[in-house]
Order: sequence, then C-alpha cells, then structure tokens
Amino acid sequence: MSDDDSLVEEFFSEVNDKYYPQVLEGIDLLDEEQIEEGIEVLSRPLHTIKGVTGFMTGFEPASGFTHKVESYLKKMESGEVGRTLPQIALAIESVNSIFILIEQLRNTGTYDEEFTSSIENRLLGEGKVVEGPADSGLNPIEIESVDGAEIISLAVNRFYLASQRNPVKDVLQDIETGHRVLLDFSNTLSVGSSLFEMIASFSQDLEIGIIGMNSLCSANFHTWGFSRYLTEYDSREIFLSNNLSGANV
Amino acid sequence: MRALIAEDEFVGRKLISTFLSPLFEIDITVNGKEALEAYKIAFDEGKPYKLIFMDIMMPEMDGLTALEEIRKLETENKIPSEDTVKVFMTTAIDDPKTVIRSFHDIEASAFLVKPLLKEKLYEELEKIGFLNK
Repeated sequence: MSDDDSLVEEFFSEVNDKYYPQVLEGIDLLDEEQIEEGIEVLSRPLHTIKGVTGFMTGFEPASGFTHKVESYLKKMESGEVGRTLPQIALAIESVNSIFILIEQLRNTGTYDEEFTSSIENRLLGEGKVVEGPADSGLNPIEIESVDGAEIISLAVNRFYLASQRNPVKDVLQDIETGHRVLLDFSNTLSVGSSLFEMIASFSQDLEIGIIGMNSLCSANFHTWGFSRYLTEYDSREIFLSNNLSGANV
Repeated sequence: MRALIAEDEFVGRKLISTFLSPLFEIDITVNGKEALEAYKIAFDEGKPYKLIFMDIMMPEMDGLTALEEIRKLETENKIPSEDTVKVFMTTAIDDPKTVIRSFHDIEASAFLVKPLLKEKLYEELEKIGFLNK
C-alpha cells in the first residue's frame, strides 16, 4: 500500500467514524435554525476535510469545493449572507454535497463537475440566485391510493429541512400498519439523508418502496445504506405488481 | 506582521526565514518549548504572531504538543476564531495520522513536507490571504 493509499484509507475511516456524525449534528442544528451553533460544530470536520483532501492526490477538487462551502458558512455566520430558509437549505445541501463529492472521487476517480459547479455558482451568487430552479408548481406532496397501496409523490426541489420533512412524516403516520407505500421522487432534485432516515424509521410497520430518484438522490440513498430498509423499484407498475424481481436490491 | 519559526535544523530555519523575510517580522526558536514561550511573550506584549511555522519532530517538546498548548491558551484567552494564529506544519513526517491530526486537532492551515519549495509556500500564504500576487 502506498503512502497515499494509506492516507485515503485512514481519512475515510475518520470520515465515517468521526466527521460525518459531527456534520450530521451540525446540519441538524442548522435545520433547527441554530446557525452559530451549527456552524461551530461543522467548522472542525470541514476544515479537516479541506486540509486533508488537499493533501491527497486526486482529491484536490474536494478541497476546493469544501473551501467554498466554508466561505459561505463564514459569510452566513458574519451576517454577510442571510438566514432565510432557502439560504439555510443551500448551506445544508452544499455540506451534504461534500460527502457525495469525496465518495465519487474515491469510487470513480472523477466527479460530476456540472453538479459541483451548479452549487458553487449558487454559493457565489448569494443574494441573486439562491433557491435554484423555480418550484415546479406541483403540490409538494400528493397522495393517491392504487390497488391497496399508497403512492406519495414528492415535488420539492430540495428536501433538507424539518419543515419539509414533517408533512411527509404526518402522512406516513396516518397510514395503517402493514400497508404498502411507494414514494415517488421523480419531481425532486436533491434530498438530505435526514428525509430517508425519517422514512426508514417507518420501515418496520410499512412496506416502503422508492422510485424516480435522480443520480444525486440515489447517491445519497445508497451512500448511507438506506437500501437496507427501503426498496428501490424501476417503476410504479413493478411496485404495484408486487414484483420484487424489478426491485433494485 | 509577525511570524514565528520553530525548527531544530539550521538549514531549515535559514531556508524558511529567507522565504519569509520580505513579508514578515520573524522570530526563530529551536524547539516546541521555546516556541510556546515565544508565543506567550508575544501575546503578553500585545503583538501576537499571525503565523507559526512548526516542525513536528523537535527536542524538548514536539511541534504538535506545543501547538496543542497554544490552542489551549487561545481558548482560555477567548481569542475569536478569526484571530487565532495560522499554523503551517513543516515536516518530513507525512504519515496519515499526523496529517489528519494536524488539520483536525491543531487546525493547521497547511501541511508542508520537506524539502520546502518557495512556490508551494507562497501558494499556501495566498490561500490564507497573507500574500497577494
């Protein structure tokens, strides 16, 4: 094993054991609009990720990206950037994206430049374009009953805040134990792991399927192992036919 | 702007001070213990260092221990995070645990592996806003 390989291995071990739990705590605080506390908790793991990835061959883009996320958080802390819900959602989305980026670099040696550039532009364009693409105009949550299953279509561009998750939780709580539920993410651009975590908490009482995730949602879903609790299907029809062979397990 | 160099090898001290002398008012120490004393004196004088170049393997007190003490003093003195001293680790040791510890525990701004190159050093100074090209 080369020096570089052992650094990468040690780094990812630290990411999983130490930094990601710290980051989750920081994100939760931001989510609860405790901005100073959240940024304080995030600062050390992000500084470490920036520094160490800058030192790891092939991971330099993660260092540069993390630096931009840090700058945005510092501006939010100082008041240069506001603290509206879309601005907080962008902060959370960008922090989550650091982890998607380092996983991409580890797994493929490359990364989705279009995706990171789009976030960087939104971070830099603070005060001009923060919210990303305009909302779809669809209802955020639509529910229909088909063949004894509940189908929940989610149409929220970026799903990161408790205020966005709670209505979904309310819907899931109202569904009778043992029922089948399908969550359709076709109209959602990106999702924080906390949404999947909340949905997975219902997996003992409900049979839950997922469809329509784009690559960003899917990366977050699989990176954090939610496929252990929730089953991804190719289509609504396959889910409804109760055909597990069409499940992406 | 003041900078402190902690380096036990003469050639290393000479090299870093040559690179930095156009930019900083420099003090030099030869181990971690002296560096910690120098930090305290500068702080008491009201003219704290903005930047420390710290070697890791040094006699008396190693660089990581000295920096942990310095970070403790900053916390005790309630120094705002934006005013804490920037640290460049300058070392021949680049084992994974030392690299990670330097960034996480010491909050180093850079980790420079010897032999030091002027371009790399200036690039890191630029990143923390101490040098404008």
